[in-house]
Amino acid sequence: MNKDLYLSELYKYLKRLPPDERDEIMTDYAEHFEQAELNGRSEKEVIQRLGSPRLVAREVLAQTQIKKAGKSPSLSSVTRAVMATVSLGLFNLIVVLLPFVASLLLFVGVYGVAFFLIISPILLFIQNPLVSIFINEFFLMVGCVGIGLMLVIGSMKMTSVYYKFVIRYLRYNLSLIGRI
Amino acid sequence: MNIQFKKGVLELCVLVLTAKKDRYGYELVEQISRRFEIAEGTIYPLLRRLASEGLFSTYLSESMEGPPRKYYKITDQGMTVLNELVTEWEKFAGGVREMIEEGSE
Repeated sequence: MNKDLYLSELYKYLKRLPPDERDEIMTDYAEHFEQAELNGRSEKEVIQRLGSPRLVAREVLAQTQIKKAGKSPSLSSVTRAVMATVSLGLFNLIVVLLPFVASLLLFVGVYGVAFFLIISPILLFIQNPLVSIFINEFFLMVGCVGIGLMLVIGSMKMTSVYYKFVIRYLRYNLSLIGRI
Repeated sequence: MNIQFKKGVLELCVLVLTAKKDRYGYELVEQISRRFEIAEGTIYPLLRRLASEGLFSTYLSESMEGPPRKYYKITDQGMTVLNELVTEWEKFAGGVREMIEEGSE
Protein backbone atom coordinates (compact mmCIF):
# COMPACT_ATOMS: atom_id res chain seq x y z
CA MET A 1 0.00 0.00 0.00
CA ASN A 2 1.21 3.53 -0.74
CA LYS A 3 0.10 6.97 0.44
CA ASP A 4 -2.50 7.51 -2.29
CA LEU A 5 -4.06 4.12 -1.75
CA TYR A 6 -4.13 4.66 2.01
CA LEU A 7 -5.85 8.02 1.66
CA SER A 8 -8.34 6.80 -0.94
CA GLU A 9 -9.24 3.84 1.25
CA LEU A 10 -9.74 6.09 4.24
CA TYR A 11 -11.91 8.36 2.09
CA LYS A 12 -14.01 5.38 1.09
CA TYR A 13 -14.59 4.33 4.71
CA LEU A 14 -15.59 7.88 5.64
CA LYS A 15 -18.10 8.21 2.81
CA ARG A 16 -21.03 8.42 5.22
CA LEU A 17 -19.73 11.59 6.88
CA PRO A 18 -20.83 15.08 5.86
CA PRO A 19 -18.47 16.26 3.06
CA ASP A 20 -16.92 19.18 4.96
CA GLU A 21 -16.13 17.03 7.96
CA ARG A 22 -14.68 14.29 5.78
CA ASP A 23 -12.53 16.78 3.88
CA GLU A 24 -11.15 18.18 7.13
CA ILE A 25 -10.17 14.71 8.27
CA MET A 26 -8.58 13.91 4.93
CA THR A 27 -6.56 17.13 5.16
CA ASP A 28 -5.25 16.07 8.58
CA TYR A 29 -3.94 12.79 7.22
CA ALA A 30 -2.55 14.31 4.04
CA GLU A 31 -0.68 16.78 6.24
CA HIS A 32 0.60 13.92 8.36
CA PHE A 33 2.08 12.27 5.27
CA GLU A 34 3.66 15.55 4.13
CA GLN A 35 5.24 16.26 7.50
CA ALA A 36 6.47 12.71 7.85
CA GLU A 37 8.07 12.92 4.42
CA LEU A 38 9.80 16.17 5.41
CA ASN A 39 11.17 14.30 8.40
CA GLY A 40 12.59 11.64 6.15
CA ARG A 41 10.12 8.84 6.79
CA SER A 42 9.16 6.46 4.02
CA GLU A 43 5.50 6.09 3.01
CA LYS A 44 5.62 2.46 4.01
CA GLU A 45 6.83 3.28 7.50
CA VAL A 46 4.24 6.04 7.95
CA ILE A 47 1.42 3.73 6.89
CA GLN A 48 2.56 0.99 9.19
CA ARG A 49 2.61 3.37 12.13
CA LEU A 50 -0.70 5.02 11.35
CA GLY A 51 -2.69 1.79 11.64
CA SER A 52 -5.09 0.54 8.97
CA PRO A 53 -7.51 3.01 7.33
CA ARG A 54 -10.34 0.87 8.62
CA LEU A 55 -9.14 1.20 12.21
CA VAL A 56 -8.80 4.95 11.85
CA ALA A 57 -12.22 5.23 10.20
CA ARG A 58 -13.89 3.20 12.96
CA GLU A 59 -12.55 5.56 15.56
CA VAL A 60 -13.73 8.59 13.60
CA LEU A 61 -17.16 7.11 12.87
CA ALA A 62 -17.77 6.06 16.48
CA GLN A 63 -17.01 9.58 17.56
CA THR A 64 -19.31 11.12 14.96
CA GLN A 65 -22.21 8.77 15.69
CA ILE A 66 -21.97 9.44 19.43
CA LYS A 67 -21.95 13.18 18.78
CA LYS A 68 -24.94 12.88 16.46
CA ALA A 69 -26.88 10.77 18.97
CA GLY A 70 -26.13 13.37 21.63
CA LYS A 71 -27.65 16.10 19.47
CA SER A 72 -30.82 14.22 18.51
CA PRO A 73 -31.33 11.15 20.68
CA SER A 74 -33.64 8.55 19.19
CA LEU A 75 -33.73 4.79 19.11
CA SER A 76 -32.04 4.69 15.70
CA SER A 77 -29.34 7.29 16.41
CA VAL A 78 -28.50 5.73 19.78
CA THR A 79 -28.42 2.25 18.26
CA ARG A 80 -26.08 3.47 15.53
CA ALA A 81 -23.77 5.03 18.12
CA VAL A 82 -23.79 1.79 20.11
CA MET A 83 -22.95 -0.27 17.02
CA ALA A 84 -20.13 2.07 15.99
CA THR A 85 -18.67 1.85 19.50
CA VAL A 86 -18.95 -1.94 19.52
CA SER A 87 -16.92 -2.07 16.29
CA LEU A 88 -13.92 -0.67 18.18
CA GLY A 89 -13.18 -3.85 20.03
CA LEU A 90 -14.35 -7.29 21.05
CA PHE A 91 -14.40 -6.21 24.65
CA ASN A 92 -17.22 -3.83 23.83
CA LEU A 93 -19.48 -6.74 22.87
CA ILE A 94 -19.61 -7.47 26.57
CA VAL A 95 -19.49 -4.03 28.15
CA VAL A 96 -21.58 -2.17 25.55
CA LEU A 97 -23.71 -4.39 23.35
CA LEU A 98 -24.84 -6.84 26.01
CA PRO A 99 -26.12 -4.25 28.52
CA PHE A 100 -27.72 -2.28 25.68
CA VAL A 101 -29.67 -5.25 24.33
CA ALA A 102 -30.65 -6.34 27.83
CA SER A 103 -31.96 -2.90 28.75
CA LEU A 104 -33.85 -2.60 25.45
CA LEU A 105 -35.54 -5.93 26.16
CA LEU A 106 -36.52 -4.62 29.57
CA PHE A 107 -38.15 -1.62 27.91
CA VAL A 108 -39.94 -3.89 25.42
CA GLY A 109 -41.19 -5.96 28.35
CA VAL A 110 -42.57 -2.96 30.23
CA TYR A 111 -44.28 -1.62 27.09
CA GLY A 112 -45.70 -5.11 26.47
CA VAL A 113 -47.20 -5.33 29.96
CA ALA A 114 -48.62 -1.80 29.61
CA PHE A 115 -50.18 -2.71 26.27
CA PHE A 116 -51.97 -5.73 27.75
CA LEU A 117 -53.24 -3.74 30.72
CA ILE A 118 -54.64 -1.04 28.45
CA ILE A 119 -56.45 -3.46 26.17
CA SER A 120 -57.56 -5.69 29.07
CA PRO A 121 -61.23 -4.48 28.90
CA ILE A 122 -61.35 -5.59 25.27
CA LEU A 123 -59.78 -8.94 26.15
CA LEU A 124 -62.33 -9.45 28.90
CA PHE A 125 -65.12 -8.61 26.54
CA ILE A 126 -63.86 -11.06 23.91
CA GLN A 127 -63.49 -13.79 26.50
CA ASN A 128 -66.90 -13.20 28.08
CA PRO A 129 -69.22 -10.86 26.23
CA LEU A 130 -71.75 -10.46 29.07
CA VAL A 131 -72.54 -6.91 30.09
CA SER A 132 -73.15 -7.94 33.73
CA ILE A 133 -69.58 -9.26 34.15
CA PHE A 134 -68.29 -6.13 32.56
CA ILE A 135 -70.11 -4.01 35.10
CA ASN A 136 -68.95 -6.23 37.97
CA GLU A 137 -65.34 -5.86 36.95
CA PHE A 138 -65.63 -2.19 36.06
CA PHE A 139 -63.31 -0.88 38.75
CA LEU A 140 -60.77 -3.58 38.11
CA MET A 141 -60.75 -2.57 34.43
CA VAL A 142 -60.35 1.10 35.24
CA GLY A 143 -57.44 0.18 37.52
CA CYS A 144 -55.75 -1.94 34.85
CA VAL A 145 -56.06 0.70 32.15
CA GLY A 146 -54.84 3.37 34.58
CA ILE A 147 -51.78 1.39 35.57
CA GLY A 148 -51.12 0.63 31.91
CA LEU A 149 -51.25 4.31 30.95
CA MET A 150 -49.00 5.23 33.86
CA LEU A 151 -46.47 2.61 32.76
CA VAL A 152 -46.47 4.01 29.22
CA ILE A 153 -45.97 7.60 30.41
CA GLY A 154 -43.30 6.54 32.90
CA SER A 155 -41.42 4.51 30.29
CA MET A 156 -41.52 7.34 27.81
CA LYS A 157 -39.98 9.68 30.36
CA MET A 158 -37.45 7.03 31.31
CA THR A 159 -36.54 6.56 27.65
CA SER A 160 -35.09 10.04 27.21
CA VAL A 161 -33.17 9.80 30.48
CA TYR A 162 -31.95 6.39 29.35
CA TYR A 163 -30.70 7.72 26.00
CA LYS A 164 -28.74 10.44 27.76
CA PHE A 165 -27.21 7.89 30.05
CA VAL A 166 -26.25 5.58 27.16
CA ILE A 167 -24.60 8.46 25.27
CA ARG A 168 -22.61 9.50 28.31
CA TYR A 169 -21.46 5.95 28.80
CA LEU A 170 -20.43 5.65 25.14
CA ARG A 171 -18.38 8.85 25.39
CA TYR A 172 -16.63 7.54 28.44
CA ASN A 173 -16.08 4.21 26.74
CA LEU A 174 -14.66 5.85 23.61
CA SER A 175 -12.11 7.77 25.64
CA LEU A 176 -10.80 4.54 27.17
CA ILE A 177 -11.36 1.58 24.94
CA GLY A 178 -10.07 0.74 21.51
CA ARG A 179 -6.83 -0.13 19.86
CA ILE A 180 -4.30 2.62 19.93
CA MET B 1 1.82 -1.52 27.86
CA ASN B 2 -1.84 -2.49 27.98
CA ILE B 3 -3.49 -0.93 24.95
CA GLN B 4 -6.73 -0.04 26.69
CA PHE B 5 -4.94 1.63 29.50
CA LYS B 6 -2.92 3.75 27.10
CA LYS B 7 -5.86 5.34 25.34
CA GLY B 8 -7.12 6.99 28.50
CA VAL B 9 -3.72 8.53 29.16
CA LEU B 10 -3.32 9.84 25.61
CA GLU B 11 -5.70 12.72 26.30
CA LEU B 12 -3.48 13.81 29.17
CA CYS B 13 -0.38 13.52 26.95
CA VAL B 14 -1.65 15.77 24.15
CA LEU B 15 -2.88 18.34 26.67
CA VAL B 16 0.47 18.40 28.47
CA LEU B 17 2.37 18.79 25.21
CA THR B 18 0.19 21.65 23.96
CA ALA B 19 0.31 23.41 27.34
CA LYS B 20 4.02 24.12 26.69
CA LYS B 21 3.48 25.58 23.22
CA ASP B 22 1.17 25.31 20.22
CA ARG B 23 1.80 22.10 18.34
CA TYR B 24 0.92 20.66 14.98
CA GLY B 25 -0.49 17.15 14.59
CA TYR B 26 2.61 15.40 13.35
CA GLU B 27 4.67 16.94 16.11
CA LEU B 28 2.29 15.58 18.75
CA VAL B 29 2.35 12.14 17.19
CA GLU B 30 6.16 12.18 17.12
CA GLN B 31 6.50 13.34 20.70
CA ILE B 32 4.20 10.61 21.98
CA SER B 33 5.32 7.72 19.79
CA ARG B 34 8.93 8.45 20.71
CA ARG B 35 8.03 7.41 24.24
CA PHE B 36 5.52 4.60 23.73
CA GLU B 37 3.96 2.75 20.85
CA ILE B 38 0.60 3.92 19.54
CA ALA B 39 -1.45 3.50 16.37
CA GLU B 40 -0.54 6.99 15.24
CA GLY B 41 -3.65 7.39 13.10
CA THR B 42 -5.94 7.45 16.12
CA ILE B 43 -4.36 10.61 17.51
CA TYR B 44 -6.15 12.76 14.94
CA PRO B 45 -9.66 11.64 15.93
CA LEU B 46 -8.68 12.35 19.54
CA LEU B 47 -7.49 15.85 18.62
CA ARG B 48 -10.75 16.46 16.75
CA ARG B 49 -12.78 15.36 19.74
CA LEU B 50 -10.86 17.55 22.18
CA ALA B 51 -11.18 20.51 19.79
CA SER B 52 -14.94 19.97 19.47
CA GLU B 53 -15.18 19.82 23.27
CA GLY B 54 -13.50 23.22 23.38
CA LEU B 55 -10.19 22.13 24.91
CA PHE B 56 -8.23 23.19 21.83
CA SER B 57 -8.56 25.87 19.23
CA THR B 58 -6.88 25.34 15.86
CA TYR B 59 -5.27 27.62 13.29
CA LEU B 60 -3.32 27.21 10.09
CA SER B 61 0.19 28.54 9.89
CA GLU B 62 2.72 28.60 7.08
CA SER B 63 5.96 26.77 7.72
CA MET B 64 9.45 27.33 6.38
CA GLU B 65 9.89 23.85 5.01
CA GLY B 66 6.67 23.32 3.15
CA PRO B 67 2.89 23.36 3.19
CA PRO B 68 0.91 25.09 5.97
CA ARG B 69 0.32 23.16 9.16
CA LYS B 70 -2.70 22.97 11.41
CA TYR B 71 -1.72 24.04 14.91
CA TYR B 72 -3.47 23.10 18.12
CA LYS B 73 -3.64 25.70 20.86
CA ILE B 74 -4.86 24.81 24.35
CA THR B 75 -7.78 26.91 25.67
CA ASP B 76 -8.48 28.02 29.25
CA GLN B 77 -10.96 25.20 29.50
CA GLY B 78 -8.27 22.84 28.24
CA MET B 79 -5.91 24.06 30.96
CA THR B 80 -8.55 23.39 33.61
CA VAL B 81 -9.10 19.85 32.34
CA LEU B 82 -5.35 19.31 32.12
CA ASN B 83 -4.85 20.31 35.74
CA GLU B 84 -7.58 17.93 36.85
CA LEU B 85 -6.11 15.09 34.80
CA VAL B 86 -2.60 15.71 36.10
CA THR B 87 -3.81 15.66 39.71
CA GLU B 88 -5.70 12.43 39.09
CA TRP B 89 -2.77 10.87 37.31
CA GLU B 90 -0.29 11.74 40.05
CA LYS B 91 -2.53 10.29 42.70
CA PHE B 92 -2.97 7.13 40.68
CA ALA B 93 0.70 6.75 39.68
CA GLY B 94 1.81 7.54 43.24
CA GLY B 95 -0.46 4.82 44.58
CA VAL B 96 0.84 2.27 42.11
CA ARG B 97 4.46 3.20 42.85
CA GLU B 98 3.91 2.80 46.59
CA MET B 99 2.47 -0.65 46.04
CA ILE B 100 5.36 -1.67 43.81
CA GLU B 101 7.86 -0.48 46.39
CA GLU B 102 6.03 -2.21 49.25
CA GLY B 103 5.81 -5.38 47.18
CA SER B 104 9.51 -5.48 46.40
CA GLU B 105 10.64 -4.99 49.97
